[in-house]
Amino acid sequence: MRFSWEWLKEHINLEISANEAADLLSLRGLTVDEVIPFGDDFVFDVDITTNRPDAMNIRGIARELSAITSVNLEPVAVNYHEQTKRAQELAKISIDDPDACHRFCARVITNAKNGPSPDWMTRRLESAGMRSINLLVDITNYVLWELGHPLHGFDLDLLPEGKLIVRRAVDGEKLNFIDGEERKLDESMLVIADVNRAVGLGGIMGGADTEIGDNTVNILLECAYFEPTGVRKTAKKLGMSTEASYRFERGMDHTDIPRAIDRACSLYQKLAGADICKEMIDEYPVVHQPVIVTMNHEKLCAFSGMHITKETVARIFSALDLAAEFKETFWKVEVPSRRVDITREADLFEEIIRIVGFERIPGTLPHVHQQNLEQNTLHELIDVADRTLLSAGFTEVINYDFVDPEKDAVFTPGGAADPYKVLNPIASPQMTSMRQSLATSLMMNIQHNANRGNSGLKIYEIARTFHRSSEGPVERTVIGIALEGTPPEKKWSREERSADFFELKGVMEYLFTRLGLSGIIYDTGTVAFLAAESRADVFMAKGDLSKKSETRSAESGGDRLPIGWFGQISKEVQNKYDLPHPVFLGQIDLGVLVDEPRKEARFSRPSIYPSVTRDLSFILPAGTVKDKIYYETILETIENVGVEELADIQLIDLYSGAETEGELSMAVRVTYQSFEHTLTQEEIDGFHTKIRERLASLGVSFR
Amino acid sequence: MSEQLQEIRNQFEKDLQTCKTERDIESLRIKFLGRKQGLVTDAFKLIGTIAPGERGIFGKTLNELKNHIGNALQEKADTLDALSESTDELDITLPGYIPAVGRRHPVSEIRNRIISIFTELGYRIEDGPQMEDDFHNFQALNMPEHHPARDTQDTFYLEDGYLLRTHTSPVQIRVMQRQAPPIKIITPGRVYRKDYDITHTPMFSQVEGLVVDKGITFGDLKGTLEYFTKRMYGEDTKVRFRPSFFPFTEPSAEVDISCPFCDSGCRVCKNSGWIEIMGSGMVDPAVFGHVGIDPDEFTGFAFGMGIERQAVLIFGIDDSRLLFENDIRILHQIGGWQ
Repeated sequence: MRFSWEWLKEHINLEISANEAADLLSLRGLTVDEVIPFGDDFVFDVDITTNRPDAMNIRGIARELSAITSVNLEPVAVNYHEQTKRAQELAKISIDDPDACHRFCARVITNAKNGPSPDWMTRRLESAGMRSINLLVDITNYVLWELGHPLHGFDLDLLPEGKLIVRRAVDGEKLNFIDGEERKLDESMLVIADVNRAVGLGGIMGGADTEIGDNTVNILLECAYFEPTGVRKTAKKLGMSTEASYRFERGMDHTDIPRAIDRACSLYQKLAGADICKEMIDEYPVVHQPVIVTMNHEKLCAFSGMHITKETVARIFSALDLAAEFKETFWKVEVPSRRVDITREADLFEEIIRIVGFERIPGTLPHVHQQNLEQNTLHELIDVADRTLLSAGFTEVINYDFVDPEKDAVFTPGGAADPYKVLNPIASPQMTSMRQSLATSLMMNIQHNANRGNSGLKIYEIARTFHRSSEGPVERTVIGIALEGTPPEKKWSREERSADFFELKGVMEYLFTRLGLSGIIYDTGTVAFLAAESRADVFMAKGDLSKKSETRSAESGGDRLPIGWFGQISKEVQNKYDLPHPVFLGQIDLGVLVDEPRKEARFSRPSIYPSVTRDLSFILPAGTVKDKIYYETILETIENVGVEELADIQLIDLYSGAETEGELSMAVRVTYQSFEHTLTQEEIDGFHTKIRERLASLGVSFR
Repeated sequence: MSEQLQEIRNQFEKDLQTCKTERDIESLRIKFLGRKQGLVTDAFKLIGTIAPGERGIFGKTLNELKNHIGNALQEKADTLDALSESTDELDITLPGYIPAVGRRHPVSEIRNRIISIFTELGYRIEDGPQMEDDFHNFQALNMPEHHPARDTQDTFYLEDGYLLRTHTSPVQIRVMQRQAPPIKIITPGRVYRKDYDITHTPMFSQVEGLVVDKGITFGDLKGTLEYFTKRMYGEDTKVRFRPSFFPFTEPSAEVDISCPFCDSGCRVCKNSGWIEIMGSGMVDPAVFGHVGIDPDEFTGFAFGMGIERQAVLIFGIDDSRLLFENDIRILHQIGGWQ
């Protein structure tokens, strides 16, 4: 809310500067966003919180300053003479729906002379961001800003019999508003009507047909109390938000209504030479009941963390117009009707603490008793995964959780099954559906970077994916990983490798090790957007932890938990995204791993005897899918020989340059070591011969 | 006779000046210490010709001269060695190999700094659903269906009556529903509001905190957030609490810190010297009512802050939307020293 400093000073005569006043307001509850020079004056821009409708006017702000500075308020000028003719003779008000309209006051003003407003009024309205229309309309806006009550003036001569009825709208009833628009109403809405039709929407906006015009001389001026929720529902339904509705939605002051009308009448008489008919019409079916709140003094001190004296409390209550008396341990406080925010003890605590000043309360650290120490396992897993990927050279990305549903369907294994849709997206279709795969976003990242010439991406995101289930929405915490191209040349003397399948697999293996998980199974991939020849699905063996990691289990299905997938995107997808390099994508479901047993790595003493390595070079025959010899088979075969002194097996070479098509040449390095003695040449030869024999029986040929 | 020795010495010093290579050193050695015709060697042969009274002094001086020349030549040889070795020296101005480690996203970087300050104070980390229901996101937080405060949190609605949480406060509600006090938690996470401009993105992150126990005071709220802001922004940071309004706290306070970028006003603080970084307050008794905690027995405080806002401030990013474009050149600029 904006207003001029000069206008404010008419209500409270402060000896301080505009900026000092602004600081006082900000530190006691009404934040002044800005003090803007306005000629030789200043305009205050105050951010008034929604709970303080009483302060959404100049008088209210002056009242706050008065409570803070103890400077008294100046009186509001209300003085005019009444005619002998009674208002009731010219106008009649009836309220059909007292639940929605608790009070409706009106005065009849005659012989008003319309014209331009005086300069001082125009200027004040301007300071508030309002444009002057004409004197008779300006006065209602002026009083709204000054005292906070929305007033509406009807051209009395346009109201048949001078009658107004506050009633529910009829379904389909139409009303031409002063903003020039016609809107269709329904029976949930409250209207002000003449005998024939609606002429205003209660608490929101008046109608165009009966508004004050240049030729208006006689006015029916009204001010009312409308129930907040009803006003809000109607305003929302019609998409209307006005100065009036903003205030009524937050709660107006029942008892102050006559004063606002009187203030306007004073101005009509003084500035427009108008006659004011005798008596105010005051329909008041639901009388405001005073609100009494009690406050325990000791509790106040305990709550604030500081001793506050009874004298201080008494002074603050008085400054805020809260009629209070102290009885034994309690304050009994009568709240003025404008303070709709005060209904409970906590509300009084707030009033005392904010006027005492937050800065006066000493800061302490809380003493909190021991709470339960249950571990947040998911957070722990996220933390480990995060640090692992960073140390492996991956950079974290963060993406919006809403994506284009068509793209998401491509990158969700098995297709995106009916994603949750955002009903009011900010951009359509790019941000309309809750993603079911992080790959959707990672592909966008790769494309975005490729378009800017950035290559060699190694990125990851840890976030949720969103799915439906019979019990409602399910959120899975997953890790998405993407690799592409060759990392930029950071090492000028070494050769960089471009991303490939085994780099991504290595990351997966490293990740599972760091997470303390074993029993991971890599099986033939099934994910459609990955290339058929280089993709894998990842599972976790359930139950049997003695099972070695990385077993390509022939008997698929059974007791294993799907936890993710990875591989190279298909050529088709790569071309569709117009990407220069192959992309390798993977996703691991962290959430399902929360309940899986994890093992911290443990110490084992290395052997004190020397180890010996021997290499085995052999050729794997060309095979069909059915009788293909996998590396895993080689490993198992060597292990199954049962040499206790076998310490390690490493793949050291693999190439397909053999003489016959389809043949692979492979070399593995075997390490032998004993915990009991130094191995002799004969022993090692013995082990090695056994292993060679066993491998030969598999069908491999040694060179 | 000692003049003669002095002359040899002078001769040597002079020759040493012009000595540049190992070969020069060798020829000097021969000239002065050579077994056959070395000047010093020859001088020793003169000892017998000297009067017995002076013989001692002469011998001593001669020995000194011999040692001096020997040492000086050795020294010279060492320097020449060092110089010749330096031809194999590395060009240390060549660039080092930058370790291929990754970078945390700037938002995570700041989130982790915030989290570590609170975990150090004994706060536990909690999280909850990002797709929320109206009860947990609004009603339990004292924002019934037609509450005007809902207008300030422009909400994304989903099918089946769900919505995208507009803050992480529903996590506080869920924790209070399932756990009796004492409670001392922080709730980092993603939140969503329908907004898109230079300072707003439709998704952003918050860290909120909640402490509930017997005897928690407004002073505890102040002390905690003073500790946090000084740890986060430096011990000289000033903190200011401004009364405000949130439906779920009473009293409520906005927390401002003295502008870390200027002494007397700049563009970042809009010349005010203060920057608003979070909201806070004492838990409203109505919220306790919704989760079955007795407000006569327990009190508590809560606070919440946007992470992007602080990331943008700390790293000097001029458009928060850039944070979610994930341009690798930007991501590689930031983070990593903590």
